[in-house]
Amino acid sequence: MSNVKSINDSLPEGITTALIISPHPDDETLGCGGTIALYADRITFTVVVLSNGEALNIEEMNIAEIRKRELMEAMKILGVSDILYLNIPDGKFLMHTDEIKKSLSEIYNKRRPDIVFTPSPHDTHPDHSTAANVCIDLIASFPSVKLAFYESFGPFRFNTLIDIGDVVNIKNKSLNKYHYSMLKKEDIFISSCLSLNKAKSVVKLNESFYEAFLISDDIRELFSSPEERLLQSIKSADTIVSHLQEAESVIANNNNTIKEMTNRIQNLESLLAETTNSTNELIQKLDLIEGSFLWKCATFYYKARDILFPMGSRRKWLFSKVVSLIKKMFS
Amino acid sequence: MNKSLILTGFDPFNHSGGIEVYTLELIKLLEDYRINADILCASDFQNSYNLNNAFIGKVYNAGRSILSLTHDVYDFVILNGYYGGGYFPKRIKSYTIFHSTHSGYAEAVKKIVPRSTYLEIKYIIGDILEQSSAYDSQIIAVSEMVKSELIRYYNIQDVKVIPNPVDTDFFHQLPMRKSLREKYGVSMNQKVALFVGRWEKSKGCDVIERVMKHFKDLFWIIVSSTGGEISPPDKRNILNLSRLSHIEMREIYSLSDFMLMPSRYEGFGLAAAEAMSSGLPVIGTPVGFLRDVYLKEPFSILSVPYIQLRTSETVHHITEAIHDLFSDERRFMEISRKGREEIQHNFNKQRWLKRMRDVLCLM
Repeated sequence: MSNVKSINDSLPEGITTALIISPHPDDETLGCGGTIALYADRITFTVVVLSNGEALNIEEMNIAEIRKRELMEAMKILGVSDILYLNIPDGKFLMHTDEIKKSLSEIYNKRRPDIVFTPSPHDTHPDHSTAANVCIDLIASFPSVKLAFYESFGPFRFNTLIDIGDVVNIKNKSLNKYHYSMLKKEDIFISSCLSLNKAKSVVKLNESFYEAFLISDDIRELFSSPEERLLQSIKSADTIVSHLQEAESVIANNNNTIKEMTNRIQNLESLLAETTNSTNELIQKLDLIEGSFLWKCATFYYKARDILFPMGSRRKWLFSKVVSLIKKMFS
Repeated sequence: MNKSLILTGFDPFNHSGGIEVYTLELIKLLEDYRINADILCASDFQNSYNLNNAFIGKVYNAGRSILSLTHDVYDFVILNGYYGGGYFPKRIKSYTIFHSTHSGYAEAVKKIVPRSTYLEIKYIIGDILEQSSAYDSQIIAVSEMVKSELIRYYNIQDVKVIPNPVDTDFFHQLPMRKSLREKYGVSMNQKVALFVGRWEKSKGCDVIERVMKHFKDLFWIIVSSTGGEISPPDKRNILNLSRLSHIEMREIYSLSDFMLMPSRYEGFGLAAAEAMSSGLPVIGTPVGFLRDVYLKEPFSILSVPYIQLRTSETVHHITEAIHDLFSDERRFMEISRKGREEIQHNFNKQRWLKRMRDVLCLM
């Protein structure tokens, strides 16, 4: 996916949940309406409407409410029921980037999207480019989330073209719900949008309607300056080397501990060997004593005594008296 | 054309390594053509991007600090090896002088440094910073060896070789050897072996310590301003000097009998060239400019192979080379004379000035 020169004709594989960031009601359908309709059976879409579009130059009371209602009707056609509103003031996104970032971060955590569709950071509408830049900022916190930039007002650099020819009538129907959002001139808006979609036929050499996206696993690769990319490479390599150094120092410490333990084991083993030797020497001495004539005589005497004068017998008592008498005589 | 910028690692007026000497010669050359040369030293910068290797952070920051400069400010920029790695992409005409390659250096010290150090030298300094420093720049290598490494490791094909200049008029054999030896407290009865460089394994200090044990009657002069502690077998036979001036270095070359340079890696080996210019035979490993010199006669007996992890074999070759060198006085004199001629012919300052003038298009 990182090679922008090759044009993909489908969304990346394995995507089951997607967020569509819509700065104003209608942007989501203009940029991704066909793709939503095409993938509705495989992907759960959540549309995040950043503003209610109240800054629209049209003399209508409650234009925000009208646009919200139009959006709901359009989404009904596309099969999207999960719609979130952030109520950021229309036209003032640049002053509310922290708020947008915080809200989107919470939504990312709750919805766990595989992919996020947002306008391009090069979009000429400041609200659109601000929304895109916030999404780019969020990559650092959600590195596994893919970003897909969509087209809104003009052609842009893309690497994915989704053929929406089979569902273009659904997109058309959905866009037609935006009567007030499109300043009551939806015919101009819709034909411009579909012309943009149709113009991509020349890329595929196949007449149809295509929604264009710029999708990458590593969006920094597509937008960073050369010096930033160089710094990124250095930082990544520096971090890896630093981890390796830490691991090496842990290994070195462990090796030292193992060495110390080995030394201690060796010392204990030699102590054990010494003790075993002296024990063996004592056993040998004991064997010598037990084998001697005197030891045998003494053993014989005590055995004979115990047989002739059993413990507790009168003979024993008498024998003891005689022995003590003899001892007194010789003392 | 009147303003240039030289991006380097350390202040050339306060350091005396090969790159700094080269930079000073460059400044003089540019001044001769009335081109002012501003010096930008990576060591003066902050590690603003908080890299774990702070010096790499400084190098990147130094290069990045001049990204926005255009030809209105400088006519050209001279980058010294990887010190120019942060200057990417370039907007001003640039020349990158490679005094070594860190990929080559990493391979040479692979077995004697931790794995992380090898990877840091090879991939961060070599593959990333050296290559970005070379990008979109006229490349100059200080030796054929460095040129071959630039091709081998980075596939940089268009490389001009301009070897380091040696002032052969200045570095020559001084006549009063006896008084010089008295000045430095060295006996006339002893053969003097000289080592010049950082006292570290990459320069072969472990090899020298082992050679010292084989030659107890040799006197050693170690000129080393940085590196580890020297642990000779006999401290009476060693003179350790540091931060010597050029005049003192010339005296040291003149009072010594031979130089030993068992480096694992050198891009050029300036000290060896100065020693040869002073008439000293240099026993060493075939690195830097010596790689080509040792292919010629009568120098081949001075070449000792460096064998990874088999230091004892290297030590054995060195002891044989020392014996061979002193066994035949006529050959010793021939090596001394032809060594000086070699430097005078290939690495003299005039030749360097002409080549550098041509490359920089100075008129």
